[in-house]
Amino acid sequence: MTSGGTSITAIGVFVAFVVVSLLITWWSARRTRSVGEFYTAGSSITGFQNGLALAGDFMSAATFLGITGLVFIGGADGMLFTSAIAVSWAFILFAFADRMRNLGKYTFADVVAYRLNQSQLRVLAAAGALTVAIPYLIAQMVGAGALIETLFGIPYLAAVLVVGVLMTVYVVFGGMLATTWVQVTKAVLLLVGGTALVMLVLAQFGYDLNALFDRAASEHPRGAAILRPTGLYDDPISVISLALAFICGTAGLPHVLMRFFTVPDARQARRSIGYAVLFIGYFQAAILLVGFGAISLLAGQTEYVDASGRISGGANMVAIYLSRVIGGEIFFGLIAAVAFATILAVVAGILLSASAAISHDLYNRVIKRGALSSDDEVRVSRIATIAIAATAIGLSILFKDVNVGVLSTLALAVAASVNFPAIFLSLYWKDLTTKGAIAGGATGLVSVVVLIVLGPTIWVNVLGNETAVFPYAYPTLFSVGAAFVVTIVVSLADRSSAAAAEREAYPAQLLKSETGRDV
Amino acid sequence: MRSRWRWSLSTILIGAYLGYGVGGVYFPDAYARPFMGTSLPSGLAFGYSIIFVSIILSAVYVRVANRLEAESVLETLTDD
Repeated sequence: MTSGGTSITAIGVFVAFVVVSLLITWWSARRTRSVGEFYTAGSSITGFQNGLALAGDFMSAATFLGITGLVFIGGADGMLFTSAIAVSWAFILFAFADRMRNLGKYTFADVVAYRLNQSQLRVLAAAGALTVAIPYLIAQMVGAGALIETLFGIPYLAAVLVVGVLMTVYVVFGGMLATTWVQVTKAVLLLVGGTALVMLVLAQFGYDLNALFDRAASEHPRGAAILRPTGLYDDPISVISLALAFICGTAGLPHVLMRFFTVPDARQARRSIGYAVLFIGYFQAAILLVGFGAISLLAGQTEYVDASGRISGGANMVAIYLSRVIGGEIFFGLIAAVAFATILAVVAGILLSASAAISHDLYNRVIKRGALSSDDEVRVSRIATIAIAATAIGLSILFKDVNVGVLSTLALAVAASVNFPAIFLSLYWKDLTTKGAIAGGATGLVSVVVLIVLGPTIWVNVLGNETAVFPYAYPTLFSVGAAFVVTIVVSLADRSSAAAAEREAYPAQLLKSETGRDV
Repeated sequence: MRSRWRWSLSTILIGAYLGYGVGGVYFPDAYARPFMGTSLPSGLAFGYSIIFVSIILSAVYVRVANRLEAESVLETLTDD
């Protein structure tokens, strides 16, 4: 922070959040013994609570601070992201919620491997889960470190350590129960904070939306052009590719998918996502107005924005500065603390899903062939949690200057290209075979990484080349398409007896996925 | 029965979103035009209605699918 230094309110609210979250962890630790309690809170969460927790999982600092920043720069273009998010959650409800809940137990790999070769599919799913979770975790932690450094004046290293240690404590001691309630607490804080912010913005314009948009159009350096579709709407291919990144990507995030198993049955699973769509849709709608409020109210505030429209501390700081301008020091402290709490809760959820991929899918299911006792699996899972957290802390310190946007794009694109095709086809296509799923997953992974490296995000912005070899920032249309085509072709060509048995097992899986009952 | 709801709601919503997104490529002027005499640009009004429709259709699906499931459970109970 260039002015004012550390806010007492921010520290107070943040310390209060940490105390509450540690109390939750202590309470949860006494209720977390078995492996089912550790991974999925014994499926004891209600639909409403899980809906809040899902919203908490998704409303990261990237969606709160990032989208406000995006609107501040790109104006109406931000709506392309905002509405994609609401649509993608509704799609998860329609296509995944009930079937996933009925087929799985702890991780999405349970579902993918249901009627296919357990070991091979678990390895694929765990690889998919980790390639999404680790970059996502690092993106959040690097973002958190930078944000906390700016907000509280704490050095980057200390900030990353605070986040890293707290998330480890939540997961190791409190498992999914603690993670869920920390997530619920944060979601409520964020929804209340976001609402207060949007109300204060509207109050500045006498609650007149017209005045807000008129003022934004007159204040922005680009004028009324910010009300038009611009950069993001270059061509239909990029628009469709971006839509696929959100729709398939969100449905392939391991920490989101894991939440289906924390509720008792398919009906509660549907209700959770129903509530999640409501909370997330509402928050996104509100955040867009905050972005326009920032355009109107931060213009001319030379302390935060210079004459060329550059924001001190980066575009992610827009929402935070706005809260100080319209709400004063105390409100600024509140919003800053909420942003910090947001990151802390999100990383805990991701960490737990990465740990389950290692301890449940790889160690217990593949290496030990499912022979591990409940106590041993919980122990392994705790060790895995600590190992992943240590790795993430180390990498976040090492790659302090990594581009957070690149990492998040990569994570979402991998989720869309590797996890989504495997889950979708295993749920809905009877002819899927193990060979097809493995070949498709590998195709998705390789193509998404290659296309992102050759695309504008890395080839131009990171490596500094003139023009990108591959012109689209979101390669999802091509990588998801390739994964689907390869999976389908290889499955159809698979004439082995194992493949025949896998196809024959589909009707039983279908019945289980629709009713939750075995044949 | 449930699968008909599943796919028709998905198609409506994703279709509307793609229509909105791709429409912006070809009709930027229409998107910039004020929406029904307000200062809200029509493109944003379109986007807001997609968020609103996502929420409504989700509520519809949860209600319908949960009721269908309750009925099917009831049927199997009476069959036994």
